[in-house]
Amino acid sequence: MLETNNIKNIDSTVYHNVEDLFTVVGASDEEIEKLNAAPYSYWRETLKQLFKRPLTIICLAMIVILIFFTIFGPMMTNYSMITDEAKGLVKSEFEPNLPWSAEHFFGTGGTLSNSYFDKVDLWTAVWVGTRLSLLLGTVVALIDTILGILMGSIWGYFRKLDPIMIEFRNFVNNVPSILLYFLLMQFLNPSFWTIVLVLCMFGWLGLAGFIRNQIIIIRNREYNVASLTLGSSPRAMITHNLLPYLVSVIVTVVSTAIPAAISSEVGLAFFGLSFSPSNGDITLGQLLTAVTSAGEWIDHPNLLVVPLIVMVPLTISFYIVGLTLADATDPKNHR
Amino acid sequence: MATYIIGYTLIALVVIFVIFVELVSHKVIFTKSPKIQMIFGHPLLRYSIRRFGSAIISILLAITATFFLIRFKVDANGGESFCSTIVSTWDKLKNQPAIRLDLCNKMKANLGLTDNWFKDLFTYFYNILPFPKTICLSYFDVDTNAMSFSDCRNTIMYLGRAFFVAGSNGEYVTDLLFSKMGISFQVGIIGSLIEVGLGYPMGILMARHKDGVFDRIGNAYIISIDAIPGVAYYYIWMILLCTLIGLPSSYVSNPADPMHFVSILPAALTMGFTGMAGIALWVRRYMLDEFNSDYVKFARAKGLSERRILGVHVLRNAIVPLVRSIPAAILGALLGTFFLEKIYGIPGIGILAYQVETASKLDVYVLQGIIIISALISVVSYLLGDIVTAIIDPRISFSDD
Repeated sequence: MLETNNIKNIDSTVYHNVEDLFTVVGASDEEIEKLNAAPYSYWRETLKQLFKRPLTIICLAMIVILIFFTIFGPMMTNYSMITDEAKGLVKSEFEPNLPWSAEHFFGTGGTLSNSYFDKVDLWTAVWVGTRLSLLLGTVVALIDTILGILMGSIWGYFRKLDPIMIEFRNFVNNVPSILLYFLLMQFLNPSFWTIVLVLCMFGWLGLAGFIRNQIIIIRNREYNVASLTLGSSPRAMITHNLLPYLVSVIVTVVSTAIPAAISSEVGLAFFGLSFSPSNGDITLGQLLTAVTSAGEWIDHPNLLVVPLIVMVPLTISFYIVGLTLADATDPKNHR
Repeated sequence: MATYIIGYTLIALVVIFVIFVELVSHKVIFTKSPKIQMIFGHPLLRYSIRRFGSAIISILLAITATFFLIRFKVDANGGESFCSTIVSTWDKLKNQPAIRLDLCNKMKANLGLTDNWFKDLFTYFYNILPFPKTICLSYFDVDTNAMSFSDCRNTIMYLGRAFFVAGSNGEYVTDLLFSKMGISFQVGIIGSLIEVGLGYPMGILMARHKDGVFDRIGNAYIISIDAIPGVAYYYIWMILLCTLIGLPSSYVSNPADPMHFVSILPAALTMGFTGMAGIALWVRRYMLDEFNSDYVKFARAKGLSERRILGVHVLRNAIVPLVRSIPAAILGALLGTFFLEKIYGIPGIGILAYQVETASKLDVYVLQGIIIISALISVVSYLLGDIVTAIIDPRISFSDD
């Protein structure tokens, strides 16, 4: 019975005069300009996604706190880390291996390691070191990113370059990086820009190779073939078609570049290839190497704990913020 | 004499084999014998030979590039800075530049360094190319002004000799590297086993209970390992393993000592715990990809048990891209890890590299030897990885058509 009823309804709809179904409301000048969908802005949505998770906010806060201390930490104690006659400074030295106190928040360095960090105030050393590590990490990550995107897109787009670049990548992958760094440091005096140069020399290859693979995957999609047929220049193809498609993929790699650069410097310092601290160039890597080289930390654990409690939250915070940023920049996750 | 016979026989066999394979696969000979065509004309065999050929080119490129980098260092400042390190009386002879230059040249002759870089490079290539030869060396000690030693050796691959690295006095680099690699391998292979033995189950568990408690803990662990600098991370494990559990924190070199094996453990465990994160990450990712594929949905719809889907269908497919890294893990164990060896004082390749780097006298051939060995291992393990993948995955074919 229900079915026959339905069929009747359909009949009445089908044979009905269409004009009876609608009523003319008339045009409204206000409504013409309105969109029913909320306006979508890519970067606003990205920001919204970024601040969604409490963990990210905690990590961002951690980064802000650590940056605050790298600037104001050394000022709180006002001990000098270097001897600079021009400024009338003398390196402050104290009793070795003092525990935590109001005078030395992190205690003082020991004497067994016979290094630059003997008898210094660890609070000052850690923050001065973090400042340079952070600066180095940021600069290296920036240069690596720019070079990586540039070279990666050229490498992926122009097929003829592929064999040369692959041979270069094989060379870098075949030789242990620490030996390559060693060979390069033979010609350079350790200073900020030479260390940046050495770290960037091969650091961009990872990102470049990654972008090259992604571009090869999407290079022959229909929209790119169409664009090519319509006569787009290589530059337009790369900047308008390929790179915007890869934003979130690129951010994923770039986001980990700062902690990776900090880690590389720690590795360099561990093999004695980093700055010479007597110029006042102190990094976290040198501090860690100095306190661990003599095994003195076994009796005085705070020597090892102090660099670690700054280094570990710093790198993890950057890493997590980076990963969330990568998720947030992916348009598939928006709304 | 025996070296010559064995060496040339081996070379002849390899050359004949390669020519035979090329001829068979190009259908020049044995066109009517399907059996020989199947074995020696196998595309995989030809592919391996071609890959090996291009691998040799990459290794030669790496050697050439690093050779010139090292020679730049040796001849920097007109060779003075290098001379001042190898001639012990360099500073005392400040007023007799001719004499000290003569001493330096004698010392350089000991090391086989001449002014002609390209001649040296070709000598070096002649020495390292694997065919039998007799290499002689007369070492003139500049300090005592007398011949120190003069000897010859029949060898197949001559990597030069070590003069300055702690405890070596004209030792053959090949011998030095092999003895060091043995020590590195003990640690590395246990570490790799732990890595694989823990990494795979961890990845499988994480994929099976996606977004569960175990997955979250695992992800946090993987993130922490990726983020924290390696050196800092190794020391955190050292605190846990040596200070809290009480494992020995330094290497016991005597193999007869029962503590010898125990003293390897902290380094091997640290290596395993670090490496397993990387493996687990990829196992999880590949397994999740497979879980979303159509054939798994179909298997589920047909009512197969989860255990069977996981063990028989998903794991087999997910494991294909991961097998590629297994030869690298085994061969890479020969090199050990530079950082762990330095931290625990294990006298392997890593410590050797560190000694070369920090020594005041640059031991050219040891440095070059380490680079050759690592390049060889890296290239061969990539090659083996590709071949192993091709063997276990029937979908991959290497035929040109």
